[in-house]
Amino acid sequence: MKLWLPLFALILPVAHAQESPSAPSDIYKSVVRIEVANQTSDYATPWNSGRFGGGIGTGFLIGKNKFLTNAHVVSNAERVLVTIHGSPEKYPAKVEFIAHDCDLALLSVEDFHDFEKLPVFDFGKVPALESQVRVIGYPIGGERLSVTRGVVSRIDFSTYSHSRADSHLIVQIDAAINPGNSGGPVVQDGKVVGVAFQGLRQADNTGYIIPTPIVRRFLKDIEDGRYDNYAELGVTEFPLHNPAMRKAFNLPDDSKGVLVTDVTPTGTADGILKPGDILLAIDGNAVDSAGMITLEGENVNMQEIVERKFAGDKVSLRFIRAGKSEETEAVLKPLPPSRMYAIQYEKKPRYIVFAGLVFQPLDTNLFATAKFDDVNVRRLYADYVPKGIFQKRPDVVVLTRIESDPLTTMIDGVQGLAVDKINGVEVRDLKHAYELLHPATPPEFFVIELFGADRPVVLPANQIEAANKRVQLNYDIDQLSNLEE
Amino acid sequence: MKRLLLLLPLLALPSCDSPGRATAAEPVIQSPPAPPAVAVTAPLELTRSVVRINSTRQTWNDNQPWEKNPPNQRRALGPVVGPNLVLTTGELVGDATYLEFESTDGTRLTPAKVIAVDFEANLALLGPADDTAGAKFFEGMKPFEMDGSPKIGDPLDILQVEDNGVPLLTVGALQGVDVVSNFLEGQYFLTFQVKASMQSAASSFSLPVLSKGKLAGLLASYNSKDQLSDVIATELVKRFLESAKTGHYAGFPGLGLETTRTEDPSLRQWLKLGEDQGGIYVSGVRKGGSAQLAGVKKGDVVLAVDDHPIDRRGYYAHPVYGNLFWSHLIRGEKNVGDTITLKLLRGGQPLSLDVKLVRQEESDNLVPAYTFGHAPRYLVKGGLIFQELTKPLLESFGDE
Repeated sequence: MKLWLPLFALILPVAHAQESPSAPSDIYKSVVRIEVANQTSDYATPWNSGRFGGGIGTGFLIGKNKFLTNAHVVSNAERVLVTIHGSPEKYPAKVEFIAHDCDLALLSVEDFHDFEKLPVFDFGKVPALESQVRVIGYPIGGERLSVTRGVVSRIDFSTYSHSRADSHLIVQIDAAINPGNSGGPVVQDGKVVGVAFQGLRQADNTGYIIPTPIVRRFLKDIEDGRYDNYAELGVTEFPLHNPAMRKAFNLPDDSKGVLVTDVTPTGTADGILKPGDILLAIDGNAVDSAGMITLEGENVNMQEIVERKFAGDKVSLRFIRAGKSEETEAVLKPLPPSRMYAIQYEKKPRYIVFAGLVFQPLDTNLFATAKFDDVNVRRLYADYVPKGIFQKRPDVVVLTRIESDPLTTMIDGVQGLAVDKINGVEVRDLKHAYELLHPATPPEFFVIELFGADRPVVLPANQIEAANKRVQLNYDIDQLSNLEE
Repeated sequence: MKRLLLLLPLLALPSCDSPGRATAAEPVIQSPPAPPAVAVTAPLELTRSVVRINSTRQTWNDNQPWEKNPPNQRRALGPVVGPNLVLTTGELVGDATYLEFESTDGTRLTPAKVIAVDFEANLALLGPADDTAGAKFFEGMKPFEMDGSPKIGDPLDILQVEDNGVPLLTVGALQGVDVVSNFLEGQYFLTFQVKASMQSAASSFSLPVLSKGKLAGLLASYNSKDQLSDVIATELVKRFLESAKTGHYAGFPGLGLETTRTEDPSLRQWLKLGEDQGGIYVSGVRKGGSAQLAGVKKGDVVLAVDDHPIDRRGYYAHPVYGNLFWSHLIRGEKNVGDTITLKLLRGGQPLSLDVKLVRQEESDNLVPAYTFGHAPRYLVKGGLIFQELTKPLLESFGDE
């Protein structure tokens, strides 16, 4: 488990009248302990099997053989075991669906027989501010079930730390949420109002839960048998508080409308909105100058409208362009390239080892491992989605390492640079790089041009095979390439 | 920093003749005969050839470009190199708001001005701000003569003057000669590395370095841990003075080339470089630079400059100093307007290009690396601050 504060003593607040007094203890049985053995890929030496580890989390029964938990509890899982409260038995389970962008997963056990009679949790609404909730789970500090109480202290649109790249609706509570609580139900009036999932290291009494709109959306998304990430509007907005800016755009001083500064190529709004447009309303909800709308009485980011929809759904946009008000409908699309900025799980790292030169496609996993400091690599990473680099280069191929070999021993200073061309051809993705490095009729030399290198990397083709053999043997590399995730 | 009196009585160091060493044969290598790193009192006459320079320096605050930072003061000892002319480092006079000569005995003072400065080579020539007052100040002064080029292993003396006016010579040896930068990053010039154990005396910036009583260089920095000094080499000082004394300082020329080594055998094979050849690969050609104007292209290999072959690491054989980085052939030996011949290999074919050397001023660069003496340019409009991008501005954000 990756989140979270160190354990601290929590004084339980006195039970509040709002909480149903008949808090059924048999419902505890439906809160299960999840034990996971996992394997995390190693992006530094991608041919290796990676790091083995494990962890404890919580899940709860929401239907026939359906256990809900957090994605981060069962990420990269090799083996999942489920235990009922008060029972010594461990039931093998498997991950049916996993959604890393909203940190939710659905599990099933191999044999549901012992669970048949257990009660099933129902879902409630987003809990109101200041209302009291119970967090049930198996946090550190003991083997048995633990229950804590807290008050809803904030409702916000914020980052889900599991993927590092996604933001959704989030509810902050002041109950202690500790490692192991992850995936546990947060209950109010006998109904689940959220899933406990993350904490905050630098603050006390801040636990975060995934509210039910997100959970319901996940459950609806998987009805068709697969999970298709969130759709995205693909718009960057800029607040229009500044009176001078409002004047420049001929807007009245009414705090309405937000400026569109960037439209992601191939995204939902591509071809519909343009930088410089002023967005006034989304699906009939007035957008204020900070890009917020009022939804069910709460002030939330306008993206929340898109959040609750699916790819293929329509969204209506009212905006001002060149002084004229326009209204149009857009069909929501997912934006797969945006996964560049999200940590990937359950993926085998892709790579090519070529005469000791290691090529890997750039993603956040690799970036987190290699800490590239080259400005070109950083620019390609930052501009990949906003500037649409992914259209020309689905992969940014990086020369990450050079394993010492007589053929390459004098090549230095090019590690950590991105590949531009191989034998004069711009490299599109890793597969393309592989094809360029393994042509039917090899050229005399392979000439690899890198962004920001002071010289090309040159390898005589007739010495590659021998070098590959040496490298494979010396560094114990089972496979010289892996092109599939 | 001013008037730091740290006159530790130096112990006479046992000049490394341990008992076992006594029987050892004469070393064959021409290593410096480990001079006793001892400061000796120099002839008082030397004080007639040096003056103290007091420099008050005030830099601009790049974060609030309409302001200057608090001033600070530095003190240096400069050799007199001509009638009413004093040599010091460029570093000392960069952003100086007030310069002043002071006689070593502290009896005379006169304001000074910069006649010529080269921040890249880290040299500056100063004269008195007022001619009549200056003539009086320099009365009885005796300019240094310049020495020929010292050789590796030659003893060199570093001259300091204590607060009481007594000159102090630290005997060191010329340990190595290299083309490095001693002040601004990326500005490589011929530099002597002198090994000597110095002590703190009254002036700490820019000290004259002497060879047999003649001026052989100017100390630019001292590393007390390694006891190594970077000394601006004789040739460079000579060439700077020649040009500076004319009143129209021309500066040192540049080729405008970025190069990289060709040690990698595969790269050499591809470039069609023979085993007996050296050569450095041109990785970039600066627009408007000497090399670009003469037609040098990225991907060329420089084999020789005039008749000096360049090896695969970029060194050539200097008749006196041994292997030196090739940039010295241009910056250290040529003047603006001179023509050199570059022997190149382009696409495997030899090519000879005559290159007329020009100089590109740093201030013409889009992002200047230094901006001494100039206030940062800025514009405040409606509370927004626009600034010209310069290296000092970038550095004000920290190391990252």
